[in-house]
Amino acid sequence: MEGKQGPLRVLVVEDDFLIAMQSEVALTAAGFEVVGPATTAEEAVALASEAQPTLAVMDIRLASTRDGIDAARQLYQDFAIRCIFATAHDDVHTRGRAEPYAPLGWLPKPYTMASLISVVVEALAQLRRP
Amino acid sequence: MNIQRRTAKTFSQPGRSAFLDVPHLPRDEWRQAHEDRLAVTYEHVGVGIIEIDEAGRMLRVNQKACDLVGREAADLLGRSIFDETSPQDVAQDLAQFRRQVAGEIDRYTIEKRLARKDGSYFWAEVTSSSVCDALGNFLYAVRAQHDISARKQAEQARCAAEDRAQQLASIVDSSDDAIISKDLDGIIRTWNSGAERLFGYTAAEVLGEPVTILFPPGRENEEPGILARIRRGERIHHYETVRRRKDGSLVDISLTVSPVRDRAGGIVGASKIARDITDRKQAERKLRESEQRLSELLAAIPAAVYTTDAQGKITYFNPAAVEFSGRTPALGSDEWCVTWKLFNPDGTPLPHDQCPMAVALKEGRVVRGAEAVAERPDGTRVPFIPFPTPLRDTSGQITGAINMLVDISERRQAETQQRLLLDELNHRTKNNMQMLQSLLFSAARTAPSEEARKVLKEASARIAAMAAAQRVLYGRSDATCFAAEEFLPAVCQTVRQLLPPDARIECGAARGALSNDIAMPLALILNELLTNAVKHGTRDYARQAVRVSLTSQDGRLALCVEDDGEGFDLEAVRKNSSGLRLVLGLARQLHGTLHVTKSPSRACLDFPAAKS
Repeated sequence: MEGKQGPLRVLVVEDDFLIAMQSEVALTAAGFEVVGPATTAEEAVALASEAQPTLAVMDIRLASTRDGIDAARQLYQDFAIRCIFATAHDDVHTRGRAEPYAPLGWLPKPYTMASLISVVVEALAQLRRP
Repeated sequence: MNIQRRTAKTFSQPGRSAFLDVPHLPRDEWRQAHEDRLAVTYEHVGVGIIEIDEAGRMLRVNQKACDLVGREAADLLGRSIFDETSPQDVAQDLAQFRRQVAGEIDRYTIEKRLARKDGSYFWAEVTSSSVCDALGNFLYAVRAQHDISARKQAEQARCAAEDRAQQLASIVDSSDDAIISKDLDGIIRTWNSGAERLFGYTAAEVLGEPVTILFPPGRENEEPGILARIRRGERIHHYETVRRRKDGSLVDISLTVSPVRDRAGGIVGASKIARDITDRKQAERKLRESEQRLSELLAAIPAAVYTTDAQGKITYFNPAAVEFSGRTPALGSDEWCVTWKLFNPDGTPLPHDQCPMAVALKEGRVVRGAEAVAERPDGTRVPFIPFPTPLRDTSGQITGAINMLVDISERRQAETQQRLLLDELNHRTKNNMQMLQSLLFSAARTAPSEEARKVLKEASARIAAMAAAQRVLYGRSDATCFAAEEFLPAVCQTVRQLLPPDARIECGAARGALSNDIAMPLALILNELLTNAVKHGTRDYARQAVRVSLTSQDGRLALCVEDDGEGFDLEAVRKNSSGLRLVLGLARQLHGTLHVTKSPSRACLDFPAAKS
């Protein structure tokens, strides 16, 4: 999938190796350029600053004290990057915390790669809408 | 018979010696003078004198006799003395008089009432003396009459006073209270039977003894104070103290002591009325003990307990209530609740006059199942359950209420902790399934043969179906069952993602609650049947869709998958299809049966909603 300046970049933030790998393979196969995967909030912020991805697929529980919502806050505030939240913590409280940072979608774990791709495509369409 | 003459003659004899100042006169002159003087004496002597015949008729009266009854002599003469006597006294007088006439007695004296002219009576003492002839025959009677009304009145007054005193004495004596009098030195002067009963001493034993014999050791010093007050003329009302009986036992009494005065008003002693209040004291002691027990009991209860009056003012609180509310409630002014501030469970303020206790009192009913949050003055909050209960008297009138506040913060913490653990567990399970899926995905991607890739993709699809069921299972609050409405679309959607992109699944009716046990087998069965229907039963994806439904009826569930193909023969296919063998095996596990029909091409699994 191509944007104006080459393939669209998707930042994958996921601390689980297998899931990150599968996501990377699926997204790449679907034509996206994958940034990362990042396994901590700090890594995510550094990669976002460096690679300026179009969006991020953000796991909420990460291998850092700062969680995915905290990372999403900084991505949104510092780089205006919005996230798709992929999490097994799909509850009202978590959604409420993420709400200020304009989530592009939710992927309740366990999800299939087909779901991942369709949510990402949906999110890009949302970003393109004026 | 010339009575006048005889009378004078009769009187002349005894009168002689009375006139010693005239013996020197000649005999005739002396006689004359003597008779004149007798006549004067007769008229003016201070005694009424009447002479009556044997029938009681008045023959002669002197002036005094006329004065006594207020009549002229002429009115009286010839009338019967008994007609002038009060009818009440006639019989007595007449009886005596008859004996006198008969010569049985010479003289008698009676007291009787005589009539005045105005109809009133007066008391007179009458002495009737016989005058007889030489042979002793009755001639007439001389009656001397004294007015004794003054003496009678005094006598009557004295009798009345004596009656009253007697009455008072019998009241004192019959009183249940001990009534004692003592002089100003504290010496017992009177002692009634009530005192005898109360203290065990007879009057004879205590009269003349000091009243302090009734005092138990250590209380003797009460007496000087009592005596001093009595000397000042004060009364002592219902003074509660203890006295000692003759047998040494102690008795609780209520004492009233009053000064006793003589005629001149001087205080000469004191009267004491002592009432046995042992029963009352005992009842008070018992009440105090029972109150003490109750209060110890309430203090020992580890929940906050307090009571209010009918108006809601706090009347009692236990130590746990102080700890609970973080403050000491003000008795008599705090209303409805011992707490500082109240909130509803949702955090909105709850005014005290609307708290469950206020509701219980205002509506006169027990309130249960309410929940509230108390805020202490230090800002900490405690969630609690109140148990307000109105209290009623025997007539059913509300006299107040009792409330118990049960702190449920620990329960709340435990619930939160449990939720956290469950969430964590769910998270781990979901994450693990995601990992499993990823593992199979990458294994399939790198498998060397098409056959291996096919098997791994099938396994991956089965894991995905289970993962979808898992999401439904742990996305809810109820931990024992789940809804067909959520389950069917979630699994169908996941299965569809792994099928050719344009294949369609129509998710039909889904009703009923399913037990957690059947979620995974059902998801796997659904995956196999849907995959099979799409693969073998559908040629034109654009026009043909696989239709699926999950319905419940009479405690049984039916999962039906229908396509537009030719269908299949169960017996012919089962040997070669590992997917179908999986379905049949899982159907057995669910105690269900699989029915397959060819037109329409349909596979239906019928199974019980709950395992029997």
